[in-house]
Amino acid sequence: MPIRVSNVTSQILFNPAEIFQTVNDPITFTEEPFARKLRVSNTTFQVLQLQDGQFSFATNTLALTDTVLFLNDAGSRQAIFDTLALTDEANAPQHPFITDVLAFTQVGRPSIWNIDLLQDIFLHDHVGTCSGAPWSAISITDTLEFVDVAGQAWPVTVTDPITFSDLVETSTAPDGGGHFIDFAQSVSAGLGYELTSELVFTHVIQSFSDFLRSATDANVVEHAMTYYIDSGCNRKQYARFVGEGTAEGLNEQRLVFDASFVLESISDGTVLILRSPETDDGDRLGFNRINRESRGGELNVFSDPNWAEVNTLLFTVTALPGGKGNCPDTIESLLTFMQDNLGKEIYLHDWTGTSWRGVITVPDEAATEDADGWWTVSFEFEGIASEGGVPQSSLSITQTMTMNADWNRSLSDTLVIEDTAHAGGSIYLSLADTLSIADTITGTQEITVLHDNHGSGATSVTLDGQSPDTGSGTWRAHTNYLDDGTMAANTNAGAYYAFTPVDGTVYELTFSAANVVTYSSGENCIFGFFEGIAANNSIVGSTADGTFDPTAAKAVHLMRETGVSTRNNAYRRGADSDGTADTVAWTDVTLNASPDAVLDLRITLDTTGGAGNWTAQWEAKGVISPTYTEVGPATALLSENIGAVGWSNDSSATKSSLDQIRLTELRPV
Amino acid sequence: MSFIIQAPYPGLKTTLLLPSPNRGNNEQLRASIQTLRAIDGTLYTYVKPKRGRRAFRWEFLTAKDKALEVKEFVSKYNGGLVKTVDHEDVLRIGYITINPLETRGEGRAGGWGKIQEAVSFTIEFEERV
Repeated sequence: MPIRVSNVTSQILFNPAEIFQTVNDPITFTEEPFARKLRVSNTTFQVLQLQDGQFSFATNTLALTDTVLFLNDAGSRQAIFDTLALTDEANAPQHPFITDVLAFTQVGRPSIWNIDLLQDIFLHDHVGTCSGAPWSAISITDTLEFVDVAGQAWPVTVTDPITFSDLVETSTAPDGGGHFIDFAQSVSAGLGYELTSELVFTHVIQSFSDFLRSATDANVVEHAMTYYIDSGCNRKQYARFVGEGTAEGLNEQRLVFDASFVLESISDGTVLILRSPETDDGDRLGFNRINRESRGGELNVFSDPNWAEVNTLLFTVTALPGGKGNCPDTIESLLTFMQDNLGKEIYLHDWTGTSWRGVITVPDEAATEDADGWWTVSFEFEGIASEGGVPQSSLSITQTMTMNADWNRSLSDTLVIEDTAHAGGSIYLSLADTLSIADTITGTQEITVLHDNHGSGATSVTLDGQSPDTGSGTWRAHTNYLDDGTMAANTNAGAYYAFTPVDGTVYELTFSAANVVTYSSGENCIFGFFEGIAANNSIVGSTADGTFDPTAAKAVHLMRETGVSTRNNAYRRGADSDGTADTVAWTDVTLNASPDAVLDLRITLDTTGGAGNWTAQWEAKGVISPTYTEVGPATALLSENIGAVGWSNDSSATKSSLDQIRLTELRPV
Repeated sequence: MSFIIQAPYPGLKTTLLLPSPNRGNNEQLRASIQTLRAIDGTLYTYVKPKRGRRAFRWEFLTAKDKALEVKEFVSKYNGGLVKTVDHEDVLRIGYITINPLETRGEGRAGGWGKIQEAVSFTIEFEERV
């Protein structure tokens, strides 16, 4: 027989404007309740409704207050317990469905008559100010916790969010003010032995399972899945393959924008900035493939991934100024650029931020002046794309700790970046963990073109007394050395440019298209760093060719005749007064066996180690090769007494030529 | 309806999603015949049935970003079998046969991808029968 025990108190008030009453209606069971079908209700209603359309203020308060107040005599150590617990618990092991909600809800609905709406829900945990004394310390513990736990023995689905949301909605832009969620933790102490402040954001996902539902073997089974929502917008928007699993997706494309359309010469560094081309540009990907039909008509296709692909770009640029009025002569600059770089690799930086390295394959396309002073030109470019740069990328993690007190006992400032991925259990789909720390050193770079026969060089002008194409100074050379990089007649002399390295810098000295034109058996053409300049530019013989002072070689390349295995190309270090102290054959077999080829030479002089620790590295490459090959490892110099750069020949029967000498300085800052 | 190309077949790794192709897509038999008429007027035909194989040609208009993805896809899988599901939900297995793959700029297109340019390109495909 069911027994019902109800204790209900209801108080409903209407008008006048403000009425406050207290309802006190406790119910207490001190005995064990009845065994079965017992319903116990203890409900207290206090409903205060104020109904007056025009009154100014309305108050509706529901307060749950728990207060304990004891007054103790001095020295009393009686403990005080003051606990307010709001507990909502549902426990029914045999029941399949449980709904158990504990909600704090406060709703205010303003109408057009309201002037102000102030509505707050506070969870405050506050420990009041306590005045202790150094000989009688007070221990204070103050904890405010939000704990959200969800768990079940064999869950089908477990969702357990903790959400802190702060939302402001307004139909118009707010006038001042703001909208913030602040997670702030502050510890302050005027006098303290230790000061510790720790703010931790922790997000943990753990998965444990003993029941295997699937097995994965990455060496055998690969799977990728993609998502796509078919809609009118998505058909127009770029939706890149989004993969999941062990299969290989497509490479990330280069998506950097707002870049200029730039042609950059690799050989001389000339930069030409054009307006972006017309939108009918073409991008043609050609590749090799074998198509075969069997006798029965079956189509078989094969393509080796290592076979070369050809990527061709087609551009049309309009409205290039032709130099009339105050306009620059861009069309002339473009034609000159293409002429100077005929058949040479250049960099093409397109308007999407992609950088291409390749060759303009149709330089003879006619440029048309289709308006007075304005030109249109088309050209084709064949090359490969490289990754573009990513501008305006900034990540800053800053932790600062300051202490302003009279008695500092400890100060600790630690910044920890931890990245951990852990998979426990037997089932997991994917696990990715990336921690990147990038550190970039910037520096100042200065490029000096000491000699360039594509510039002012002329066959009828001697190099002696000429100034470099950029930079200051004067060449000191034997009269047989000409300004176009060739030699009028064979001579064992040299051409030098005064240059003194300093500590803390990396220098790159390059000789483009260095060539041994004629040679004498056993003799050398020499390119690199020397001790100094001869007082008399007409001196010949070993005092001028880098063997002895004053022009003794310090770090040089030697190019020599072909067909003599023991006399192939080499690199050399010179001592204080002996420019031939240490000569070693190039370490690269292919380049070493091509002494009469036209090569680009480079010597990197590193003085960042300070005096006594200067090193030189020797490199070479074919003129059409994009990258240098080391032919002599970085080695400490035998003498750091360097006062000149240049090239020379140590035989009257040996003759050399070159296109350009460039000196690059890089100073890290 | 989107247009789906997946490769390599059958161990699919990569999925390419394209919009429906432009109107004007075409489909042709690869079969051919040679005729020879004898002196007595008899017509002889030499037939290459090519197993009834068909070739398809679709032209797409997409954002430039998507065209870059297509280019990467063709570069990676130009020598292997691919699976296509066309705009009419027809599944085919075969080869992408176009060479070279050429994308053509079609003008500016606000809101189309990040580069905001429209690009057209043609895919030629031949069934494997």
